[in-house]
Amino acid sequence: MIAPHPDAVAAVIRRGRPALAWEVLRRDPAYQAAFAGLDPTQPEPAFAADWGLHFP
Amino acid sequence: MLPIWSAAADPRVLAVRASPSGGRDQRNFEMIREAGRVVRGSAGEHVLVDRGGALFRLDVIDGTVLAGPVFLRFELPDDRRLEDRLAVVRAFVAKPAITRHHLQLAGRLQALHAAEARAAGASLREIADGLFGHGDWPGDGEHRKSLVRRMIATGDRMIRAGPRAVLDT
Repeated sequence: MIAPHPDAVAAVIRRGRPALAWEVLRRDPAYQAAFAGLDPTQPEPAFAADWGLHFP
Repeated sequence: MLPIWSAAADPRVLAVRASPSGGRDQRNFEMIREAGRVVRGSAGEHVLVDRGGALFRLDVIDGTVLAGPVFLRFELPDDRRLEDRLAVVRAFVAKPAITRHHLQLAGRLQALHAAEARAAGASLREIADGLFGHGDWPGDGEHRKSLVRRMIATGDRMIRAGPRAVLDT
């Protein structure tokens, strides 16, 4: 799909730069690989520090 | 990190009950789509929502906002703080003002998609049609083609620079 999903547009309009930065990050193959390697049951402080993220 | 005041102390904190959304006429609240944070307390969740610098605080006295879209019921006791609370509720449910800055950011999101589509093999014309709908190609003075080329270049720059460049600028 070439056009952005309306939810993504709404998120960028509503949340500004953080939402746009997220759209850039989630396209990064290195991030995708790192995320895929996470154990969802274990907190990964190094992952959060590496990518500048916090997960609720 | 600053604490979040409770509704008992600050009239601008809205006490809400959260239940799973479902009704057609109900307005959904989705924490995952908001900027902010949730602190779990003994009496429920304390929520901070940041909408472009406009801060809203919710005390969730029943249910949770962390399990997907919810329908909120506001707790509005008729006391001397009612008007304050109503003003906050009106601001909370109002559609956010869309500024030129936010539209520019949405344009950069389009650029990101244009670059992604190009990398996946889409033609310039396909990208233009996808982003703007069908139109003359390449357009008077090739303006449509030029616009798509500029968007692809912008998107490529954003991808190369990474997310922190977006946050820093």
